[in-house]
Order: sequence, then structure tokens, then C-alpha cells
Amino acid sequence: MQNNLISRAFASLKQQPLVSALSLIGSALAIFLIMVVVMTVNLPYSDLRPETNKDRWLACSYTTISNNNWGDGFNTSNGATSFKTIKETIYSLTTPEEVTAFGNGFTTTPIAAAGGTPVPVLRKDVDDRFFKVFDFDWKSGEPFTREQFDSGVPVVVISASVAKKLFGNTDVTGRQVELDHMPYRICGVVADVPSVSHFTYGDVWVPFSATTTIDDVWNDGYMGMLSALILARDKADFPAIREEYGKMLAKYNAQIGEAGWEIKRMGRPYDIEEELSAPWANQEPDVKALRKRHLITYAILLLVPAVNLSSMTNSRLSRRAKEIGVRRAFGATRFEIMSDLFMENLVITVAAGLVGWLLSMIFALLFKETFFSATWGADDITGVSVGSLMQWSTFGWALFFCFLLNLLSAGIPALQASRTNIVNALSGKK
Amino acid sequence: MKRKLLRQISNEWRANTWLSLELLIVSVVLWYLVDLFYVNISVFNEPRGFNTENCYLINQRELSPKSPEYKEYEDGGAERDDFQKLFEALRNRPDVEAVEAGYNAFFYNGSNSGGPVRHETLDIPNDGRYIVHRRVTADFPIVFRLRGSLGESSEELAKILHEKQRGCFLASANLLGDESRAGELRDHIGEVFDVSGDSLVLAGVYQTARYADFYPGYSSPSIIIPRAPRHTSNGELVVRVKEKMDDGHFDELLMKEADNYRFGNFYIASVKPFTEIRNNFQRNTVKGLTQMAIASLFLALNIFLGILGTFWFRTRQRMSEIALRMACGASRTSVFRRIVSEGEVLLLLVTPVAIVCDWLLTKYQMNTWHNGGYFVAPRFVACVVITWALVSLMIFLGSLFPARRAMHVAPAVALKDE
Repeated sequence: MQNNLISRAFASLKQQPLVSALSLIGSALAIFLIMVVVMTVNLPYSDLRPETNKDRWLACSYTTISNNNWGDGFNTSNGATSFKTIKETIYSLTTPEEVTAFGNGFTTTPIAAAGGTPVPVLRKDVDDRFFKVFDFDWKSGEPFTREQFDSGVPVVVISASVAKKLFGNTDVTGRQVELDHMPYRICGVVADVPSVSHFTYGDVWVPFSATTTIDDVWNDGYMGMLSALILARDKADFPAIREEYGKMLAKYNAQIGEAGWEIKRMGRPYDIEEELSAPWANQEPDVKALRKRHLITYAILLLVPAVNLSSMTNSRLSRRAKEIGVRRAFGATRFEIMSDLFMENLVITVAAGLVGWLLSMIFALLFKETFFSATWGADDITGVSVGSLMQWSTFGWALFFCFLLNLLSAGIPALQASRTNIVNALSGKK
Repeated sequence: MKRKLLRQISNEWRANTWLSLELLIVSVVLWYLVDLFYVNISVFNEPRGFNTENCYLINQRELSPKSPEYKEYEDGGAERDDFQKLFEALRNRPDVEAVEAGYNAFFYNGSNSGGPVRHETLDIPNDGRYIVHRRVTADFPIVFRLRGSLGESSEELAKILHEKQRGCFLASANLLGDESRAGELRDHIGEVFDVSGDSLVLAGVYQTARYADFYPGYSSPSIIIPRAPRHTSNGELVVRVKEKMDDGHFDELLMKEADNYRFGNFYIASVKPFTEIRNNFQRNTVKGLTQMAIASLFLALNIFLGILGTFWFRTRQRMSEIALRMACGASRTSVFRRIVSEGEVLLLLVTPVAIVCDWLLTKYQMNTWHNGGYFVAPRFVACVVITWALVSLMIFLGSLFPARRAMHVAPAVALKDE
């Protein structure tokens, strides 16, 4: 029965090659564009080593601070945080699985092997906990320890490509390099980090206790150059972590309040969706607006081709009114007629879905540097691999959109066609 | 002819409803996108007020106290002298025209370091317009080719900063909200303003220097506050290389010679051309606009495919009717015109509804804001016309193939069954 249905659908499509081709191209284009949008939108939420477990993240990228003496109007200062503030409000949390502090940006600086030519690299300043929160792919060696961090030992973790540039191979743990005109010992080598990795992107990672980052502070030492990330044991712990953070902040504010300072909470810490919808440090995230924007985009991208296909399906069905009439006269039920027409369009949309999905993958391969690269802030473009874009969830979305498009474009005309009066259909009337 | 065409359109009301609906949706969405491009292109083409060609950003850093090469300074003066040596060494290079040492001041750096500017009598709009403060050394106007609001040269602006040094500031011509009020602002040169709590004297007015390429002049007020060439934690140095001596590789050249620029604890960590800094800063905007352009192309293609598919069927269904009209003396051109006109008439019918939808989008502020607001009559009309022309072109292209097929119908062959 099912085979019969599919073969009938194929036969019917073969009879009208041009319109079948147009429908297929139209749907494929729609699926292609939606897929590109889904991939672009989803990439920052997807787990991509070393940034995994994103659903368990709570971020404090920035801090908002004000002072009683500043008066009205521009009365907050926004930016990265000092180590002192992080120690009091983030390190002291007990509910999360782990917390980490790291440089809010990165520094371009020269690195050289002994006697070698200096190579400019992006230096990321981190703490020892950073390597527990993020899932780096270790090629050799290991992260620096808590003791090394606390005593500011000059050790460095370098990326595989930097190791190859300096030494020609990645097995270089224990070797010395000159970084910022200072000797550092390599303690580990990790796989390169894609530039879309918002918090971890860099070429070399050093303990910020070994640099001057800790001393780079402002607003009486409450603001600085660091960000923090909290890794919850479970997403369900978010309310408890937020509550604990609120308590820590209130306690800290009581201390710094003597000099008129107050750290404004602004809804922090943010989960990944909030973090991505808060581009400015002085604005609270607007997740609803972001979701609405995505929904409108999807709706338009689906609606236009659906109406387009409906128009074509409608024209095609008016040619087949007699055929439908004959089938109804010979006892075909409305449901059978509808399923036939539905199946016919399903064949097109599934084929179009595959073509569209394939097109989007080719597109991702060709334009990955432009469309799937880092957002503002990264100095370099290291696109993600197409492999990381080709996730099962993306394919699932493709299938879902195929089904939705089919439902929208074929459902209504099929329903209308099945309701046509037999006598009218046979006489060619609509 | 027109009445017959309208009758024919109404006879095919079912298919035409779908087509009209599609034309309506696409017209409205395309109008939104055309409006977005119109605004962005207009903003992009506004005078930038600064120039970064032949400019390079040097990231100067200091050795960590843990470095074996670290130099202990007995007083701040010796440290300042070392930085001054680096600054002068760069300035004295034969290929360098000017150097500036700023704090979060260079263009395309994304910094919003700033605050309110107030005056006893002048009304300076501060709401929603962040006044960026650029704390820089005197040659900043030369490095970025800023000009005075009355056409004064960069050198003249730099001279003001050199002479007045501390306690003064320069303001952009749009500080009072609109460039047309630049004269009013100039009348207050020499008067004291409250700049984020400091009392500074307005020493000059320069042409509006926009925040970046896609930021309109209106929302880019800024002021320049002179500072002595001292090192800062962000180590910002910008050089302008003499145009004739810049082969585009100054960054590589300077990095090769970096050892010659080590003075005390100061060293050059990196050198980047401004083309790279500009691209990095605007990558997301350009990416967004590219995506929108692809979406516009997609919508236009949909119209093309929809019209092609629907009219292909129609011409096949009406083959005998077309043949009959030709047998009765209709020319091939009139047959062609009739088919093409059908789509265009549909577009004309939906256009008023689309215009109402477009207007509603502006009313509820859902389109792109530009200097005058969301609804500006000339811009609105221009975008409606551009959108209509685009959709109309797609309809023409889509109906071209079926229409050409129809005009080549041989009446005798098509009517043989009759």
C-alpha cells in the first residue's frame, strides 16, 4: 500500500517535470536558507571543544558598579572585574561544581623559542580552575596546578599550531619559551581552539598571577580585567547558585559601600542564552526579544516558500480536478485523496530537504570563514570545521522544517481538492 | 483590454489569492530589508570625519616585575622618560608622519569611555547619545586626519592641543545634537564646560568623527581631551605612515626592528594595520548585512519561481483561448503583454495594502532607525519604489518564459481539436 502510494506520487511528479522541478528548487532553497540560519544561530549554543556543557554555564563576563558621588545620569561604570571582587563573590560560592576566572579579552604578544624568531600570539590569562571548567584536548603535558597558580610560576599551555611553529612538533612539554620577554616553561600542549569559542579562544594560556593582569584595576580596585564563569552540577542548581551569589554580592556590597560603591546585579550571572543576548555590559539581557526575532525569521523563511508552493500546488490540482472526480466516483475516500496529494508533496519536500541540507553543508564549507567565524573581538578568523556544524540536531531541524513546509504548502490545497464535489470535478468546474 | 484582464484575474481568483498573498508578504518583507540597506548604505556613505589609511596600531607593553630583564625605577620620572624615548623614536622614524598615545581613543576600538558634558547655558542632549571621550596626545588630529568645523586643517587642530595642553578640550560639531548647531557651539569657545566632573575649557570644534562606518554621525558625539605622552595600561600607540612610504608592510617591518624600540621596561608587542582592526570591528555587522542580502535574493527568487510555475500552468490551460485570440487577429506582442500584465496588475492591486503594512511597521518602530526617526517621507517613498521595482522585475522575469511560449503558439495546431 505504502509502496503503491509512493510510486503513484513519483508517476504524478514525472508528468509535470517543470513544476515538480520548480517546487523542488523552491523548497530546497527554503530549507537551505533556514538551515544556514539555524546553524548560525545554534553555533554559539552548541558544545564545541573545549567549550562543552554550555547548558550548565552561568557567566559573569562583566560587572556594573556605581558610586554615590556620581549623581544622576551616567551613573554606572561597566566592564571587566578585578580579582579581588571575583574572589569575594565567585570563588567563595559553594553550590557550583567549579568556578573559574580569566582575562576578559586577550593580548597579542610575541613568543619565541630559545634563539628563535618571535611569533605574535594571542595570550589568554587564566586561573588553574579554567582547565577544569573547559574541556581542552590535551596533546601532551597537563594544566598548571593550584600551587603554581597561587605562587605565580611562569608556566604556559600552548596550542598545537604554536608548538609546531616554534618547535616543529607538539611533544614540547617542559621546554622553555620567551613570552613577553620573560622565560616561561611549557606545561602542556592542547589542540587549537576555534575562534568561535567565546571564553577560551587564544594561542597560549598563562596563569594571570604570573602577569600584571591582577594589578590592572580601576574604580578603587573593584573593577579590573577579568571575567568569571560558573559551572553548575546540574541546570536545576541555577536558582540555588543565583541565590548564593546574591548573598555573596550583598555581603561584598556592605563592605565596599562604606566608600560609596555598589555593584549592581543586573540579573547576573547569566545562562548561555542570556549571555548571548546581552551584547553590552550596561544592558540587561533581553531573551524574549532574541527569541521573537528568531521566530519571525523562521516564520518568514517558511511562509513565503509555503505560499509559493501552495500557489503552484493549487494550479497543478486544478488540472487534475477531473482525475480526482473519477477517483471519488469510483469510491476513493477524501482521506485517500488527501493522503495521495500529501504524499506527492512529501516526496518533493523530502527530496528538497535533502538537497537543501546538502546545499547548506556545501555553503558552510565554502563560506565558513564568513558565516561561522568569531563574533567581534577575535583578532583572527579560525572558522569551525564543517564536521562540527553537521550535528544530528541540525539534521533533525532540516527534517522538521521539511515536514512543516509540506504541511503548510500541501495541506490546505489537498484539503480543498478532496472536498471538491464529484459532479463539479468531472465537469471541470471548480 | 484592461477590463478583460481584470475579469480574467477575478475568474482565477483562487490561484491569484495565493499569488497575491505571496506578493504581499514578499513586498512587505522586502521593503523592510530595502529600508535596512537604504539606512546602512546612507550611513556608510556619510562623511566619516576621520581617516585610517596608512595608520597602524602599535601595542606597547611593559615587562612584568617577574621578568629577569625588569628595570626597577626609582621614581616615576625615569619611567616616563623611557616611554618618552619610545614615543620619540617612533616619531623620528623617516617613514612616520605622526604618532599619538591615547587611552581607549583610537577608532574602531569599541570603547564607550565617556560621560556627560554640561554647560551653564547650553542645552547639550545627553539622553541616548553617549559622548565618547578620547584622551589623546596632541597629534591625534593629524594621525586620524580630523578637520576643524570651519575647515581648519589637522595640523591647526593639533596646534591648539599642543599649545593649550591640559585643561582644555575639543568638541565634535554635533555635540549639541545636530551639526547645524556647530556655530552655536563655536560661540562658546573659551568657556568652561563640566566634562564628567572636570572643568575644561572648550578650545575648538572639529567635524563630526563617527564612531565607526555603520554608526551615523548623529549618534557619534565625541570630545578630545589632550594628555601628555605617558604610558597607559592598554599600551595604545597609533602611527600614521607617510603615504608615499607605506607599502602596506609597515607592521612586519616594525616587528622585525622591535628590538630597537626597547626602552627600559617598554617594548612593542604587536603592530596591526587599521584595515585589519576595522574589519575585525565590523565583521558582525557585515556578516549580518550579507545574511540579509542573501535573504532578499531568496525572496526575489521565490517570486520568480512562483510566477514562473503558476503562469506556466495558466498558459497551458489557456492554450486554446490564446490561439483563438490570435486567430481573431491578436498580435503576438499583445498576447505577450497580456500574460506579463497579469502578474504586474496583481502587484499593483496588492501594493496599496503593502504600503499600509510598511507604514504600520514604521508606526510601531519595527524598522530601522535613522537620523530623522523611523518614518521619514522621502526615505519611505524611495524604499517603496525600490521594492516595487524589484518585485515587478521578478514578476516580469518569471512570466517571460510562459509568455514567450504563449506568443509562439500556432493557432491551427492549438485549435485542431476544436
